[in-house]
Amino acid sequence: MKQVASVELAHVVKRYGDVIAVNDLSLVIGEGEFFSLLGPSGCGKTTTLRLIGGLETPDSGEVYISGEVVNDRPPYERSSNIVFQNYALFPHLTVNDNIAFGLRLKSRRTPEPEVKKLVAQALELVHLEDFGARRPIQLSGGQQQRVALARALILRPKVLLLDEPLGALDRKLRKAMQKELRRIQQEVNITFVYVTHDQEEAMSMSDRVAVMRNGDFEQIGSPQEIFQSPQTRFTADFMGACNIYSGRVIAADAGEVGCASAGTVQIETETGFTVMSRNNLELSSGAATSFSI
Amino acid sequence: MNQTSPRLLFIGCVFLFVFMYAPLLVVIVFSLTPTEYGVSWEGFTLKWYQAVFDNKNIQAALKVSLMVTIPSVLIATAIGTITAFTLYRSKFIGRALFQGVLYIPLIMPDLVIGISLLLFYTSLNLELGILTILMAHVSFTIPLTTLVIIARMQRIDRNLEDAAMDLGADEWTTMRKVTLPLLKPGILAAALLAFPWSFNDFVITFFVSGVGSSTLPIRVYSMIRLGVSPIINALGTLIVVLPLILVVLGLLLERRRMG
Ligand SMILES: Nc1ncnc2c1ncn2[C@@H]1O[C@H](COP(=O)(O)OP(=O)(O)OP(=O)(O)O)[C@@H](O)[C@H]1O
Ligand SMILES: [Mg+2]
Repeated sequence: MKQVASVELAHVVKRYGDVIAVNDLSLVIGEGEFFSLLGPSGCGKTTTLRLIGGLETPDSGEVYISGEVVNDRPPYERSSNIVFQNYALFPHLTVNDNIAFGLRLKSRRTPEPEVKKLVAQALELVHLEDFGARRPIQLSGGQQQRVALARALILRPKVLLLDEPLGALDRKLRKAMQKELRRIQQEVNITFVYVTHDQEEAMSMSDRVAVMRNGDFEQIGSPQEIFQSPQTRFTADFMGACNIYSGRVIAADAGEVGCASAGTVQIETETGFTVMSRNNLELSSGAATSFSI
Repeated sequence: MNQTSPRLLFIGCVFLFVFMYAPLLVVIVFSLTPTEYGVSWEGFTLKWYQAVFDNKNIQAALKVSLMVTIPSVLIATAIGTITAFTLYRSKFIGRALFQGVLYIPLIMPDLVIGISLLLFYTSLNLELGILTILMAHVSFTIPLTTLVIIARMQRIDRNLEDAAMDLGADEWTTMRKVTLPLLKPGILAAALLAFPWSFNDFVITFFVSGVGSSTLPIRVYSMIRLGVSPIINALGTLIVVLPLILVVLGLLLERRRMG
């Protein structure tokens, strides 16, 4: 049985004038997967989410949701929701009405008692039980962020696109919300595409992580792969390996052909040390390389 | 130096206010005394106000004025809202040019607008009267309302409309539930500014009004031509003070409604 991908991008390009925000991006995310996007500021994370959510249309390439091309489908006809980086709460509505906004639309026709119940649940989920009657302007940044989270979660979308959804929270609350998010995600089997600056968060929550750079992926893999064997210097750098060495391979053993376990490699650094490592990259003798410890 | 600067500023402010409001004060004071000619206080009276209310010509002119101003404010605010939406949302070619052209009437002399509207209406064989005044008022009020509403619109966070659409609202619902409510203060401000803008207009109205269709400012002008009477003082006071009272009342009501 072949599983249909929940979200798929195929050679997607998005330009803003001269700026190429997303450059030939391809990606397959499975159903119910927790997929994290990591990368420096301005590398195109928000743009990627907006492309999936339908708030931007790609200049070229295809966006698929549940196996269907959705390029021409407006955001309100896509089964995805975004938790915006800057919250984007409606200032003229109370917290309750913000959270109920999606449920009350004609397209969903939720009966009012049901709306009330779900909103109360959502408020409880984000620990804001007593704040329903307030306006967004009367909330702190972290509280606003949790309202934004509740507003998207309450709709139980197939795909939830989260743009640094916990960035404004203190460590303790963040840990608690991480747990809640992971629980909801597994319970309802929502696909999460999760942008974060916090590597620890990405590592502890994600099924897979993608490191982005200048609108393209540098590396995609499980947290272990990304962290333990970064494929490029950029990834290693970004993952916080502060000690990166360049050197030359002085002896290489490619390992057994067709065998998953790699051979070993011996590298001499510019400063004269010699290091042994697993030969993941199939390096051969004499090649220039860099590594981190 | 540091001591004198604020004091100088304060004195400057006082001068400014005297300069602006002293003439108005003179009008109010002399509307309350029976002196018919000259400038002396001869006791308190309300007879000029009585005269204003008894004056059939003034009543007729006020009626014309309201018949022109109320619809023209409503129409200009509605069209201004739609124009602002169109200019701000869509990206058609020549949009910047269109927006620039829209503002020209704001700096064009009333005299030129009046003459050109007069020529235009007569070349269309329209009979000068309330209809032509109304049309003129709508056309010179639209730039004002559009400008005010666009200014407000530029301050709306685009992300909010994106969020509404993302949550499932189509374009129409988004406009109704998010954009318009956020724009409401701007629309209200536009209408509030448009009211005196239209009500007080003299020059343009002068050109496009026919016989027997005088608005209040035109009536006042023709009364002055027959000699300045303290009735004018009373009328002027009413025109300044009544809207002020209305606005203050409105603000108080709004405050009470907000709790
Ligand atoms: N509306 C826009 N107009 C022009 N350029 C834009 C626009 N939105 C984004 N960009 C540019 O596209 C690039 C990618 O932006 P994006 O918002 O996707 O970055 P990001 O990875 O989310 O960054 P951050 O971590 O700071 O949120 C940036 O160079 C940005 O300047
Ligand atoms: Mg971003």
